[in-house]
Amino acid sequence: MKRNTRWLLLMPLLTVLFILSGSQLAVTRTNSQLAACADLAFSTEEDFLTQGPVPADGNPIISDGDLLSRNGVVCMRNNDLLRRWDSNVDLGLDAADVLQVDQELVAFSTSLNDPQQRFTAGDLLSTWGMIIPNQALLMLFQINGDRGLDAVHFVGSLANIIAFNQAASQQPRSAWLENRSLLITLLKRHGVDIWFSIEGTERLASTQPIYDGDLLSAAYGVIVARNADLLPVTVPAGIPLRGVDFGLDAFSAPRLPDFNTGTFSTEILNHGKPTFSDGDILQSGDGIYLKDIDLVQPFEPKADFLGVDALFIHFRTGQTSGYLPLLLKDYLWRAQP
Amino acid sequence: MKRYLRLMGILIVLVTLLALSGVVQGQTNYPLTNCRDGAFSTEEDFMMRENEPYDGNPYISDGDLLSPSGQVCARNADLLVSFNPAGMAPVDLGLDAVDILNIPERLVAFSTELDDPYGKFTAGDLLFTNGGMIPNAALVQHFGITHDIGLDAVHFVGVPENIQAFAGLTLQLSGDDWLKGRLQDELQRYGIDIWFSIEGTQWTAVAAPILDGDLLSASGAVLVPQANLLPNSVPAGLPQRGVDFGLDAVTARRLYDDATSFTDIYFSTEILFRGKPAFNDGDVLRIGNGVVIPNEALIKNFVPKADFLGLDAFSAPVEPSNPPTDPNIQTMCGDRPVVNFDGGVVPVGGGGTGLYKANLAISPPGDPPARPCGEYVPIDGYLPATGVKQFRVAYRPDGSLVPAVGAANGIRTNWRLYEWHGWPINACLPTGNLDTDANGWMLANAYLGAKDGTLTGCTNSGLRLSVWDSANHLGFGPADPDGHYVLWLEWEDLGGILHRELVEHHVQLDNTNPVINDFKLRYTDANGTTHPVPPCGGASAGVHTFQVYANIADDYYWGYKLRVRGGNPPAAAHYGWHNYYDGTPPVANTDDTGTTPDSTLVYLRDIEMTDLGASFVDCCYDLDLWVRDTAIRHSFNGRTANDASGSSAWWDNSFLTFAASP
Repeated sequence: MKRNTRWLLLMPLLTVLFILSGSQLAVTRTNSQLAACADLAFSTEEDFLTQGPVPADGNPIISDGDLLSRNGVVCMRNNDLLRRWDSNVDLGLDAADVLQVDQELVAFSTSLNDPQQRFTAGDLLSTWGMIIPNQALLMLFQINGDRGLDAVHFVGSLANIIAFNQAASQQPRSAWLENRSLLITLLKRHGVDIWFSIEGTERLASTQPIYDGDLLSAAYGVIVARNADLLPVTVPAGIPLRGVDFGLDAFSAPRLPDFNTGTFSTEILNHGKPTFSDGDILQSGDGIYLKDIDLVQPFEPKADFLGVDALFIHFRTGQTSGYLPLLLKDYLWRAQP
Repeated sequence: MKRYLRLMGILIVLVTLLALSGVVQGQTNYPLTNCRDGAFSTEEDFMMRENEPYDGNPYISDGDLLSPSGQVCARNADLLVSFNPAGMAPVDLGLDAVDILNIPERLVAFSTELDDPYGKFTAGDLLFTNGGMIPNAALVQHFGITHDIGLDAVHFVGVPENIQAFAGLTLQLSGDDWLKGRLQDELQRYGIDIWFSIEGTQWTAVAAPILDGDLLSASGAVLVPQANLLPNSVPAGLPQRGVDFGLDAVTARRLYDDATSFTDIYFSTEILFRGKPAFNDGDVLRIGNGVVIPNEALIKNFVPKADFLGLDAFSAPVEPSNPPTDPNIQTMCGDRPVVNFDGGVVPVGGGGTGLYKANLAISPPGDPPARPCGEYVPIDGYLPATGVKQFRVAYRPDGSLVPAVGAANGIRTNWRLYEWHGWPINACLPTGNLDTDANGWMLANAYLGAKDGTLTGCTNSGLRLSVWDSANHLGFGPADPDGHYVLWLEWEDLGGILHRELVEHHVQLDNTNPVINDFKLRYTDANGTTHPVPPCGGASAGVHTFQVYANIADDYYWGYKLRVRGGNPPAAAHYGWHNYYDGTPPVANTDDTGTTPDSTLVYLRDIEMTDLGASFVDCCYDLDLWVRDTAIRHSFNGRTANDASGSSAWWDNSFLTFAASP
């Protein structure tokens, strides 16, 4: 009888644990609610328990590998993003660009390497199965090797970006490495660029050092924006002159070749003016665009800071500092019954 | 000429570019000894603006190993020199975890941020500067994890000699050897363990998840769950408390007698917390407690342009059995350990309030009240028996520039020594003198000889490194008797070379006594109307409850007490001490600077005449109010310094008389 009682106590516990372990179960089903991330998507630096809306898969644990919306929706679990690779391991989410909601096209990078060695944490992936090796992104910088991928943002017309992704998804990873000019050719053919940042400092580039706080162009092999260009002059950003590399953890902008309209987050906080945390969304050359707490508040987490690792913001045509539409959206979300 | 100038210009630019590009070739004679008191890496690169690293390049990478004293101990390329293919330019791969295992041997265990471009290792593998490597999958094998899940923090536990021998073994075994289950066997054989944290969370269907905020053991156990690393007030741990704060760096003792009670574990998190205790992801935290070293204090000696650079790897000689061999200050304000002062042990230029709190080091934020030091301030510490010619306690006002060794003011102390007097006295008498010079320098031989009696024939156990006349009774105290100062020990070795402590000690002085600005008594009649009781005046018969009002001020106020006495036969009733932080109603209108709001007469508490019992008759009464501050004060007679903090000499007192009848 005692044994039965013990089992009765254990069963609910096991059930709860089973439910909480949902990231493995989700492999076989699609929980994607990407439409909720049409305007803004992000990932956190750490896992947490949501006390807000219950995610579609019923699992209240939010992983730092999940793609989240600004209104408390889990748009894609990490294994939804990695569905093409049938991965049952949460590999984190380090960079993301939501390209097409209807066809579930998201470009992203992970925080960990694929256990089956099909891609690394520095490769650019897409939900359509694209794997662009980190080395290919860095080809024009004359950097040999994987330097990580911390932020990604596609530039060009949306139709061209989608066409590029279609073409790129057809290529096996090895093709990019065998034909070093393949990426550049494809990007230029489609009139598309990939802006990105790396994880490490690269001081071996033949012309000038590259820091992980710089925004780089894969198509042209140039530094689109130095860390110093992104942050206000009051912030000691940029090496060597201003003194500190604040990193570039995420970047999102209109799909125009103009970084000045972009938003981003840094790797480290700043106590000076303007004060910001490494979870705040900043406006290029300006101050805070969106506070970290505003991003995660709809999930009602137990802590008001969870960091930001990946970020996508949809800017409508002509919208350069689109805070007002976001505010209106926010109002509408809150107004919903 | 124009062409020549252009050429010169190009040359200068090229040289600058070369310096800034920092194509650092790895070397094996890097100054790891600079990190004997601790080592860390930052999350981001920066330029140091004072001093100069050993390779002359002011650019600091987030892959370099740094000391809190503001020195570079190893460049990233130095750590990786055993892995870099010959003739290939080294790549900075970052530094995600570190444990310094042997300084003279330059043996360091570490992990990188990025995979090796030559494919020898991944960012999750555990590397050794001797060229050894343990694959990540071998570390996490016993957790049922079969893939590389990253390595965010590492710390070896065990006898140092065994750890070094194990590190030697890593050179002999291949990655495959480790993956065949050899790791646990070898850890057991050497009697050591590897504590670590991972980058990703491992969710399992039947057991609790392995969080990247858990402290793991390579033996396959979750040593300290995330929830136990942080105080209960922090929502740490999943799924129960709600958030995984991560574990970005960890250091601890090498040896633990009782494996079930882990103390002295220091770590940093991946994300900040704005609740209580608040911390940043660059602060060093102590298990179950709050911040012990703010990020700003860690990096301050590099004088970076920003006051936060994050913390990615951390290692420190936590072992209690490793006392310092250099002279150092250990106690201030009597026998109070420096670690119990806010800023009591900080890197040079580090911050702190200089206020003492009991148990601050063991259980931050310590016990109230926060206390400054006043009158004579004894300062003591360790002075080796040999090797020091002279020493002094140097000081500077807080916030002032750090001077060169020997350039600051020194605390002067004049000692009166017991010395032996032969026949016909045959006894020790306090007739000797031992004084510092005008700059505070004391001859070490004379000091040590007097202390143990080898020079004087009588022990002088009351000697301290110095006793600071903070109130300036003798004319050579500090400029500001209520100032905030920073102290450190300086010494000259037998070769004439000046040295200084690598840390500093903040101390707040206070030689201003508390003041009672106003003191009043009131009573409330049956209609609820409040009336003042004039001096020597009284209340109508039947009033036995009086309200006490006062206006008290002090920079470091502690509490008040009251005494009413009189009646027939004479009797007294006492109320307090009421300390401002004790949470009782009588302290509702007080804080750490006296009554609140400042400069205002406020209600303190009621006094009950019936507390005098049968002595409460129609009579005249006296009401006394005493207030005290928190300053720790010592007296000094030239031989010993005695704690006189409890003396009423530094209290303020006010009294009033009034008449009352039952």
